[in-house]
Amino acid sequence: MNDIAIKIENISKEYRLGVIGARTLKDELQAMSAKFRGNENPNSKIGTGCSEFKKGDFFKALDDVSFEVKKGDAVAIIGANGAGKSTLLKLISRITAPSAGKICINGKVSSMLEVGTGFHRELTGRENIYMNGAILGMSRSDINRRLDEIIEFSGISQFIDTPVKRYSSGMFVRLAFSVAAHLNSDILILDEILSVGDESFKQSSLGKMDEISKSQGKTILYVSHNMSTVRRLCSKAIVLDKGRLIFDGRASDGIEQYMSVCASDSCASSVELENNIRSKYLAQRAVMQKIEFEGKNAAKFSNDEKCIVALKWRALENIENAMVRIVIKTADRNPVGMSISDCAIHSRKDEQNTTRLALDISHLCQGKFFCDISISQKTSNGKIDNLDRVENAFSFEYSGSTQASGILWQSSAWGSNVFDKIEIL
Amino acid sequence: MQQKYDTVITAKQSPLKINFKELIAYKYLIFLFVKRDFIAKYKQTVLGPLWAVIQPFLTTVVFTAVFGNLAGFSTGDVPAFVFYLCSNVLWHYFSASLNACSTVLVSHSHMLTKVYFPRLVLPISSVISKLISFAIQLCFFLVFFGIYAAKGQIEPNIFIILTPLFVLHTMLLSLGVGMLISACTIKYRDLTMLISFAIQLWMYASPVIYTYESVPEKWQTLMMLNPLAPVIEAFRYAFLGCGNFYAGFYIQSCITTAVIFLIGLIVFNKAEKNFADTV
Repeated sequence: MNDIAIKIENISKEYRLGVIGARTLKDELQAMSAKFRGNENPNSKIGTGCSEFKKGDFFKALDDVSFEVKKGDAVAIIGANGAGKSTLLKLISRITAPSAGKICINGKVSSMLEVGTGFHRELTGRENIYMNGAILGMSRSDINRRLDEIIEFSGISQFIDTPVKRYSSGMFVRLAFSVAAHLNSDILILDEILSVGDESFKQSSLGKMDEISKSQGKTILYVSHNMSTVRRLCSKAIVLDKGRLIFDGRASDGIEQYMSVCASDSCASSVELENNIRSKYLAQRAVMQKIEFEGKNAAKFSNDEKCIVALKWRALENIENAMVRIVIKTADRNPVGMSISDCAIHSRKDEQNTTRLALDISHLCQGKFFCDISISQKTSNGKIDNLDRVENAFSFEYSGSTQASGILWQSSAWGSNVFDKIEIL
Repeated sequence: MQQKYDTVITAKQSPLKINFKELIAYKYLIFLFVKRDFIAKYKQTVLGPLWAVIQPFLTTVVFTAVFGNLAGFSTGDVPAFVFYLCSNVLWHYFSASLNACSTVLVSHSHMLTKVYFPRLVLPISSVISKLISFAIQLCFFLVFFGIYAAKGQIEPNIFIILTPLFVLHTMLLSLGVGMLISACTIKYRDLTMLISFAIQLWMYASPVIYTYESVPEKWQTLMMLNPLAPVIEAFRYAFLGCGNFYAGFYIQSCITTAVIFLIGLIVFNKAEKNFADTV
């Protein structure tokens, strides 16, 4: 039995730098004359003219990627911006052709790289359902059969015979999504589309996607930066980094792999903070320079250890009654909680300080955590004023506590917090 | 182990391999594009499809006044108004569909980068959608044709039954040239600026406002090398009885049209897979 939906063999996609930007004959001539004189092409895209890439060089958006997707799998494609995720989806959905390699597909592919492609402002909602459905490859009878379902799911049946130019953007997106969700293709390609609509629609569209992959047995390729939807929808994941495939396997492992790529030197025993990027809204009055995990060669903690760090920082002015605030986040950057010290930090201007901090992490589940750290002060009107703040400043790994009724919390699916025992009153 | 797949995408695909089966599967999309063009064009207009008639009518009036009366171009025994209307209807279809066909890819670039469908759907549907306004214009022309024929001022003949052929011929020619240009406009937007001028030039190179006989003899053959010229001549001969049916020139035009159409198809098909990257 042939149970492979998509088979990708050694796929590469190259773009020639600079040429993509040239559009008119004039641009092309300019580029040629610039090349002749040895100058930089004035039309090349920003960033492509830098020393890293030379003119006429090829940029590999995808480099020798191979993998297989089985029928009925929901596969997440994750990676940082520019890792080649969208390029991969475009190749599979035949929007562009690969430079090398081979893609074999079994079944009908529908891609939703954007909801509402092909909607025309002047047509009514109903007409646009037909239009959009046809563009996505549905036949007239398919659409007729699903029309009621589509209208009902969109929740805008009242306005279905109004031209879509009168729609609010939310209505537009709802309609577009419901068309896409009711396609009768075997393979669905979704690119970051669940980030639309209000919260209730988001939940129902997630539920719909879940239904499509689990009960209808369709194959889904899903690109998102939202790891909690990835976790919810997908059983498998492939991770791309700079055009190369670096992971192919279970979704939860893939997410961890991706997160560790993002924070390349995560769990290091000391982290420099001085050159980290600060928010542009920050009025900096102190500079955090370094964090050291004392007596450790990696930021790994176990059992009931406390996370003890030495924070080295410098005051830019006289500081009194400041405090340290740490926000703890999971690997997919969802906040778990926050901890604040007493307002007991003082420093004179230009003084070098080392503040030792102990963070109780015994209530965390096993896993990897990221922290934002800030030095703050309470203002006279009770607000908190950041003197310095670094996001995702450091990370640590916690192997879990045995404290909670002796159960070893193995799986991250148990959440990220361990609460105290329930007392029977 | 060899497995059978529905779709295989490889880096190099022959430009001669055109998936007609798939194109037919998307016929409903062609229909919808045509419908959309028609609805969107006349929505929120008071006169609606009547506009399809007004435009060539006004052009004809201007032609009759300028070329017929002021410049004194000869239209033979045929009244100037119906002469210009006849040539204009066919010419207008050609120029409108060529124009639509050449710009269709750029105007649908947002779709090209977001979703896959056979790209040939776009030029084909734009040519068909212009056929609707042509049909309206033809009916409008037939009214005057009836009036003048009743008065005995024009002499229609048996070639009138070839009208569908003339229309198909015009359609394929505009589709062929249109595909060629649209495949190039994706890369060089300059052509979109040039196209309206080129179409105007083409009109003067075609016997729209003049006839084959009124051209100096040494230029006649050159003029008829323009694949559109014999079609317009034949169309006018069939309805108005002016001029003649030049079979030799017409066959030559058929061959030229077929060649242009094939070249256009191949170039379009070759450029198609990278539209999304270049657009």
